[in-house]
Amino acid sequence: MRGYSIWALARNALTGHAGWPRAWRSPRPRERYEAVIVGAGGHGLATAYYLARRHGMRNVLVVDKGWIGGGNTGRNTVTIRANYLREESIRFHAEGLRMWREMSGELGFNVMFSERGQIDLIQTWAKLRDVKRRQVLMRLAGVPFEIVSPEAAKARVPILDLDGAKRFPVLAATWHPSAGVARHDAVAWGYARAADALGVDIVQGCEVTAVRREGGRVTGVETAMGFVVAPKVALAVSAHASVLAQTAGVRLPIETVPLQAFVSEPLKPMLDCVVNCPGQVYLSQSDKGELVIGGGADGVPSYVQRGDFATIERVVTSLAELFPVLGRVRMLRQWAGAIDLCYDTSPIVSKAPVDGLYLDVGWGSGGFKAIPAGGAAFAALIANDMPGPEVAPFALDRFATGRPLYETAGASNRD
Amino acid sequence: MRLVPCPDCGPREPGEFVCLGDSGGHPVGEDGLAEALYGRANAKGPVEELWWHKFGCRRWLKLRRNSATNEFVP
Repeated sequence: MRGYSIWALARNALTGHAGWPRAWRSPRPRERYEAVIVGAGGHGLATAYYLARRHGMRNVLVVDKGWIGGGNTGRNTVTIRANYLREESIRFHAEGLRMWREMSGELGFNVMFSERGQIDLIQTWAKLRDVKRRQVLMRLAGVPFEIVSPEAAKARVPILDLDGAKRFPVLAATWHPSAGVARHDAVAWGYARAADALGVDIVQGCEVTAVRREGGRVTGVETAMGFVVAPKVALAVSAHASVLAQTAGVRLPIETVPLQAFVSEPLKPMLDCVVNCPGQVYLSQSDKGELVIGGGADGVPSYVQRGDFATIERVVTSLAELFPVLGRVRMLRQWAGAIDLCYDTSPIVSKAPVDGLYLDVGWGSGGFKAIPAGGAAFAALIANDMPGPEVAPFALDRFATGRPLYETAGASNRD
Repeated sequence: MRLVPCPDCGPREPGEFVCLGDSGGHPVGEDGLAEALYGRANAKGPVEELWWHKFGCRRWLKLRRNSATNEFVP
């Protein structure tokens, strides 16, 4: 793999940019692999990369019915943060933040990670109690997170109108300085390129229709390009987790729900951090100047990547109240990602009750930020057939054993 | 999302309703209590759901919908 650099750019500029090599191969799937990862999104590709890099498993297939990063990796609002409620989640995401900082260097691909901080505007007493609890837990985990006054938030976000929030006055705000954003496509492409260079096969446009098992063991996957034998099958498919797991006889505590996002027309720089109003709206400004806006999850389970109008109304109402300056801004695009929402809104990184089947599902509204830490932990789980301590609490059997991890900090959580 | 066919009020905005999910109930079977409480079919395709017309006639409805297209089917 030739690295990208200023010299390569200059050299190719002189030769009409005809000399760039392909970033990854497009092989046909072989008959047999050590492991098959279903889903070539951020999680699937990161898992393949860490399997090859850290665990020496290079005879690996990553297969996707669409294209690289074309699912929720390309549909989310790219917020990266660690301000969760559960100690397990905070530690996991704090390690994630560390990995995000090093990602561009490690992959040799600029993922444009920008550690710009996040402000949460707290508009209900229930949420205020929640963030007070989270502030204590974040302190115990050693991740900076503090409650600040509405005026301090206003000083950081000048477009905020505190008088405009008549329905839900801003009671307080929180400041999470190590939060940030990154370029979502670059994350998928960077991991794809690095995994491919280590020998991982990435096959796009090939749907996996079923996981085949014999007795209590996985034997491989049925794909649109034929049966692929593999003793280890890993699902990193978000929306279709339940559908695929059920072909192996495993039922998951997951519902597939649309999570919507919007992009405005490009504007001059006006917002240099992430702003989140829990349960209502969240936004950040991209490098192109577009405001990237998201809301809570829709109330109706669905696999349709469009979303319902009630959510649009809720998001836009809050947006216009808190940021009246955006009242006449036009939206360029609206879409939804179909997210796999787990019952307790914490993820499942776990062995399945079938030998050789591994699950990296239930990330719900928080999958993007978990790409590096989730991929590394999932790779360790697949390679060692045992979860590491960082993801052991996210086991599938936590429901049966009475240890669910109810989370309050996801975009899909409501008060 | 399509308009919701309420037998009392006719086709109405989905925002008037609360979707209460799978109408199949969750009987405790051989898989035990955890499966009954937390397990979800999460089917892609036709599903039968309970809908509550909260901001309307306040009736509970049993509706069939295709979760892959959002179309309500009679």
